[in-house]
Amino acid sequence: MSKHYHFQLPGELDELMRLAERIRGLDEYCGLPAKPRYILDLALEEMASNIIKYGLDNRSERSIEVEIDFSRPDLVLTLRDDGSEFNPLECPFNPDGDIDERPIGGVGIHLICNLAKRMDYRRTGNTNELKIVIDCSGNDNCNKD
Amino acid sequence: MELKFESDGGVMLLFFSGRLDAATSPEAESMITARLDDAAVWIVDLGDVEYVSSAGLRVLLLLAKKLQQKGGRLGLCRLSPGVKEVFDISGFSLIFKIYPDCDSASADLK
Repeated sequence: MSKHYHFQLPGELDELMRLAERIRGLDEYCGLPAKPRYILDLALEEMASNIIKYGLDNRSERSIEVEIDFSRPDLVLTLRDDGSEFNPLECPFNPDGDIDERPIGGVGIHLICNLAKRMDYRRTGNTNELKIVIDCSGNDNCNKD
Repeated sequence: MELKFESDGGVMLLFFSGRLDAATSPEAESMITARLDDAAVWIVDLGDVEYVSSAGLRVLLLLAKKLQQKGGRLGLCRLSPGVKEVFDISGFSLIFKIYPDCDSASADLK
């Protein structure tokens, strides 16, 4: 059985971290195996903070729609915003380089591109929609990391 | 998130616990910056860290850069499987010295 959640997230980093904490308190989240729990947490933080920092033109009245479909075997996290057009799948990242030359930008997107089972982006009208599919197969092991 | 600092013979042992994310990183960064001149060799124990995001990686990268600028050294130890995977995918495993435990870090870096 799948459970669907829909949140309206104000475009501020503090609000995002509060929402992330709230999601970590959901029974459906707690019932996930450790790896998809980590990936969902990371996907929400990295992708939504990216939208807040770069996509919303510093307009605090903007908000982001956050949807989570806790279905099995794949969980789907969907983010929608009406900020500037931005396709994270086209963001370049080079994981090479020494400490001196290592930039931090792009790391978050690179992590999710590698950890998620699939990511789909589409621009419809003035809305960015990013769907992140996370593999949740495996045993439930809440609090047994 | 909790940070515990133990300075011993020019080596700073930093024990992290909890989450190192966008919410906790600013405080972690300022606490680390305040102790930066206390030692040239830093060993960061991540054994009780359950989650690191790119914001947390940034704090560790800044520490590594600042230590390198003053001729110091940094070692990380006891990464949990989830945290290790984040280090591996981001390429950070290649730029940080990572050890299984604090003793082996200390023996190598002192």
